[in-house]
Amino acid sequence: MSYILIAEDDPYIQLMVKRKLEGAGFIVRATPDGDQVIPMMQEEMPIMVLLDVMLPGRTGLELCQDIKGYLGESAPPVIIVSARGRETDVEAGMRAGADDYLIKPFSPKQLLDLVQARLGG
Amino acid sequence: MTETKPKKIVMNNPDDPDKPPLDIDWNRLLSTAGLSIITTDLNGLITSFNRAAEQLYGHEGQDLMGEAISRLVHPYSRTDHDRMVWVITRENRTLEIQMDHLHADGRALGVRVAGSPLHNPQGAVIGMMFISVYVGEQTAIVGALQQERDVLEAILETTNDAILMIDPEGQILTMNFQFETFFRLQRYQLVGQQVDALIEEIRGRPDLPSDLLNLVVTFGLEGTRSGGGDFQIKEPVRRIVVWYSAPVHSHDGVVMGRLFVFQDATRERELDRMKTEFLSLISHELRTPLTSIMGFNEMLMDGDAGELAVDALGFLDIIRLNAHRLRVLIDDILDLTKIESGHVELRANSHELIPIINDVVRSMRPMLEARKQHLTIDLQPEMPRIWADRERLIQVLSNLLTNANKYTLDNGHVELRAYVVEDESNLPKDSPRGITLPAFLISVQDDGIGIDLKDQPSIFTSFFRTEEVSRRQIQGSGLGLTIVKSFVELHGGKIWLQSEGKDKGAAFFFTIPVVRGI
Repeated sequence: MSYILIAEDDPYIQLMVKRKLEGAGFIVRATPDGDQVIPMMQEEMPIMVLLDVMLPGRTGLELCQDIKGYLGESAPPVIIVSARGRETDVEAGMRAGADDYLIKPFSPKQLLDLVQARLGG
Repeated sequence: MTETKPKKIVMNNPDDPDKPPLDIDWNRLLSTAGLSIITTDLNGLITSFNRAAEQLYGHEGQDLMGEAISRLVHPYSRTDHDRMVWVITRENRTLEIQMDHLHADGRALGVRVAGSPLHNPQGAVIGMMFISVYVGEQTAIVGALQQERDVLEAILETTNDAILMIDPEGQILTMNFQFETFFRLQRYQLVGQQVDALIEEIRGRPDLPSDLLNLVVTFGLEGTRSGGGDFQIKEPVRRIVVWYSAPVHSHDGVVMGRLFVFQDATRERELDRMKTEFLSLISHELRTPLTSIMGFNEMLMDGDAGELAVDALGFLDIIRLNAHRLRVLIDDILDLTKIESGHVELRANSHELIPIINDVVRSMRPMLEARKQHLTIDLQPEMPRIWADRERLIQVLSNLLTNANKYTLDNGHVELRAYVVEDESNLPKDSPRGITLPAFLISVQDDGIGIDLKDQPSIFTSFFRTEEVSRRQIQGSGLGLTIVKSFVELHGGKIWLQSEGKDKGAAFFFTIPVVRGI
């Protein structure tokens, strides 16, 4: 089962992203807890990871760094979604290895376009 | 404690020291001399007071017998008097000093005083003799200067700033109490010394910041540079010190030395940091709910929850517009906070200007077309590259074009121009002074509702909205131009407005200096 993993602690944003992606035919699994991300990935590798930065447990930046660091070329695309939108924040995300950085508030349609572009439809 | 009143003075015979000494009738000499002569015992209590002294000081000699001579000394000159007494009695020497004495009516007397020891025949010092010559009104000036000096010293000593002043020859002129406590230095060891002594002292003290040393060494004594900055003191508690240094000139322009002023800015900085942190937190907390509001709204409008009635779509569009307003406001307030706290970092780089302008224009087209406004673009071909923060420049251009769009009627005209101005003669008339040239001059002009003359001075002020704008229900936070102005100024440029008044349209001009060789 190829799925997209979402780590987002705000339940409404989580629901919003889930509904938008599911509406386009993707399978989504979500967690509000940063510490759950790696175990979930170990259980089954997702085709993409969406990470909020400010998560309980490990932060999105730390997670992104680990995912890209351990898995290298075989790591799934990672999109960081954050309310922190300064240039330095975006740069930090890019340094952590994120493929994209989306600033809140973001448009669900824009997110879907990004996911589809990364996964080739 | 001698009570002997000297009746006779023993003098060596000036013709031949080996001959018997001369006998002089001291009382007669004292009383008839034209000079004011006062004698005292070793405790400074008056033992004789001649006629000339009575005239000079306005006292009856009889009244002063047994009184302390210091009664006749002006408070300003007390130190000089004490020094004189010390030299006479301890060093058995004669001393001459110009100082202030007091007349019986309280006014200051400028006198030149020669003080000498009186000896008994055995050569022991038994008293003092003071000969005073009136020197005139100088004292009044000296007194006034002294008073002024006292006032300045009181200010210097009570201010919260630590102050250090060095003269052009490198001598430490002054160091106030705050400086002493701030850096835990002893001023009696340093004032009057060469600055090297201070440098040496700082070098030997690991608790003092090397920045202080660098400062004193770098600014040294020469140069007319002024400067400021900050550094940290780590002991005994961590403090942030803001400093300022400038040469001090006398009224006729001669450099008198260099002044260093230090302020403890620890608390101020802490509050500043808390404010920034608080606003960043608020912004984060506001953006999170806004994400759901805007996101679900968009999904509803996109039909993700099924077909909606036209009315429902209309209402959702109002929610969308207002959520957008809220978002812009949050961004503006954050920008402004960063600007005010000086936390805006320019990420300047070398760019081609025309593609940046074209990008902005492309994103603005739909807005302008919605109101059937005509946009004219006039760009000088082959401009040099611009040294600017691309994001900020885009923000400035977008803001000015958005304003032109908002404040111009349907079917109106908007003109965007950009060219390089080499010298002042090429600037538009009524440009402000102090523009760094050569510069890129970019202007956005419209034939819209204009700006009332009385509102023009406030146009760049935070939260300022003209009555006309409120009346016409044009939305905005009143922060845009404040932010734009700060961004332009961060680039070293200027921004200004030209509008003939209400309904006469408006033109905003801004410059960004040309940087060569980029």
